[in-house]
Amino acid sequence: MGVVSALGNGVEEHLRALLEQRSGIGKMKYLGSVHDDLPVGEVQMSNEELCEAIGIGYDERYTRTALLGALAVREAVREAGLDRRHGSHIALVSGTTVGGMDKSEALYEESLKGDCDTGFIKTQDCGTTTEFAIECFPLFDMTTTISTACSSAANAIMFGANLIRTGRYDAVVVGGSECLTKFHLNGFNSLLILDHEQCRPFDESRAGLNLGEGAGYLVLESEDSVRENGISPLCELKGYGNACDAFHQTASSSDGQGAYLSMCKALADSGLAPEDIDYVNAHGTGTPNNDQSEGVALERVFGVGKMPPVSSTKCYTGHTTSASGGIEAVISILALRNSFCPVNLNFRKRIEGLSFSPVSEPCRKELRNVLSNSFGFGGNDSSVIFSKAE
Amino acid sequence: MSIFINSAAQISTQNPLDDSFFAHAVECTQKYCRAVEADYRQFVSPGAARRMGPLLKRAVATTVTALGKTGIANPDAIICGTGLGCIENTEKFLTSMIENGETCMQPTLFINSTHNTIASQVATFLKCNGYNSTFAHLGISFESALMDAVMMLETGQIGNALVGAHDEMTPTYFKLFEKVDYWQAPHGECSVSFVIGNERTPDSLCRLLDVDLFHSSDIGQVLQRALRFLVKNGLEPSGIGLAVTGRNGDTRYDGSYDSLLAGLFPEGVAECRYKHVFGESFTAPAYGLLLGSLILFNGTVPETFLYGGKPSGGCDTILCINSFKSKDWSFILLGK
Repeated sequence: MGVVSALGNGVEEHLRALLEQRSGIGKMKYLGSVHDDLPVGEVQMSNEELCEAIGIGYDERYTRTALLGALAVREAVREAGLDRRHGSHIALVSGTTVGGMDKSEALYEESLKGDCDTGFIKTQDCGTTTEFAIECFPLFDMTTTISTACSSAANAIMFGANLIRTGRYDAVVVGGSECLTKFHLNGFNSLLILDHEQCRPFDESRAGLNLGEGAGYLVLESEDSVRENGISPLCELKGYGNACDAFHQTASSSDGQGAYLSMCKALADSGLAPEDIDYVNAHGTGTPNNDQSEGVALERVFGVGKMPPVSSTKCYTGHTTSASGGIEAVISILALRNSFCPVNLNFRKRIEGLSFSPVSEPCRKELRNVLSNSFGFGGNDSSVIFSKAE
Repeated sequence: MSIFINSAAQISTQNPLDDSFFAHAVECTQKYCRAVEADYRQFVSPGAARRMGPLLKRAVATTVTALGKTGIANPDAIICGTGLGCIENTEKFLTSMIENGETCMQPTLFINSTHNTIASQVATFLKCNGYNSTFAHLGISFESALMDAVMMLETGQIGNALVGAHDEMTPTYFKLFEKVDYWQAPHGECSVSFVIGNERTPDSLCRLLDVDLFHSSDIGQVLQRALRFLVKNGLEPSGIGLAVTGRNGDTRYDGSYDSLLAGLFPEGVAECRYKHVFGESFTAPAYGLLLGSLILFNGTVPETFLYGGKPSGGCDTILCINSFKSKDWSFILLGK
């Protein structure tokens, strides 16, 4: 797996920050929005530094989502040793929504007026962002991009898993990438769901989310491929589910129907019972609506009084939107492999009407099965379960 | 298990929401051909229509029409492909952000700008809690959505799916595309909805045998992939009666179709094209699937779409081929 976020570059830096309970959310440094009083989870690297870390020359036309994605894909394929295998037959499935908007928003106005460079239009879309990683690492013979807003990466994991399930591929790289843009910062701001303080998921006083950026990818391989290549896998992708809340374009239903269904489908797919889940990495954005709705859905799935440890790690990374399902998959697997439940930072008081509180003290325990939730605008809800490899 | 295309509906440069283009197609004569709008009053209330952009209205109309033909009210999955999503709203939000210095922003424009707006609003419209996803990858956006549906049908995760292809081309985007010479072809728009499922119905158009995607600009590798795809499905190139290609008149890329077809069919193959009628768009390959389905259903090949000679024998199996700039390839295999 590979990851980059406000917590740093690479899996090791993420593990350390989570165990030290150190958030990466802070003052805006790179985005250059007029709303610079809003805390954000920025990757602390300039585009030049990202190019250097990927090992490519800098070009000002490169979009930041593409660079973040390529950096995390690089770590994932290296760790899995995909770059050392011959005759590669590997697919890359990535999630993004902002695509190349960072360049478009910088150049759009000028381009409509005169003869200035309009090349950005060729990289504004989502697919081109994904293809950048393919150009950097020529290992892939198939690629596609999923755009379901904040659940994009989780759905990319599911599509990739289906490529393996149906025998089309033995190895796939799946995840998502998203950089901060003024476009979606202003979008979320216009919806009045950004907190001017550090976000407080599952806290009674929560007042919104902090946006973040980054990328997270997993290498999925079939059982046959694992055996043939003598690999010891990090974990097993045990099951997954996707459902639509079908309620409102930006609000979740009060009974969390979409979230409830996606978790139930994932459990059914995995063959596990609710009590087999040892930790839930929640979507937990910190908005009043999401955490209430997700909380109710969790109670419906697990039962009041029978809740496994639940935490949101968006208080570390910010809400990395399309990348969050990838970054939080990495975090879920780190929790599974290192036997801990990440502490939900900034929690003080339980949400009125909910029966449970998130993990608020360091919690070391053996985990067998971890469920990760990713919910997007439009009620695009997805849940993925990772289990200890047998 | 077999997969069937059970219905389809389109809004395009042609007469909306029917198949009359099959007999009476009108060719695109302009570089920019917008879709012919349907009468949306029968699908959405005037109040709801005011809150919807044109692309969303088209998506709802093609969805309701396609579902109506099958009698399915609530599909197991709604999956859309879109290259650019609701780009009109994206432009408006971006322009307003630039003009107003990031102040006075309208949330509605932002909400309706994300790519998944279409599939999720269609779900909200139908009150459909099933699987829901959106693919946005250049010229293979629709085929990715189709592949998603096929894989879930193959694994029994769903029994039927609504698969859509939706793209609009705004005057601004057309201007920007022209400046960079993006497509040397008529720029069209797309809204096609298909209902596919694992059960045959009296109105089933054809069988959907398989879908494949391939990323390579090496035509030798593309040829190998296409051959492997046919073999996987128990076929040889000689078993293909007709190729439906995404040939669009762009001299920079059309040659790759010639090379591929020459390699795949040394004896030659009958070919149909469709982008001279529907225009080019990121999701235009959906029209190829629509045309192929109707050819199998009707048992005839309309002259307007033929590129070269007619099929010499029977036409029971069709291979749809699309290349986006000779690097992103899709193959869809259809059977009677």
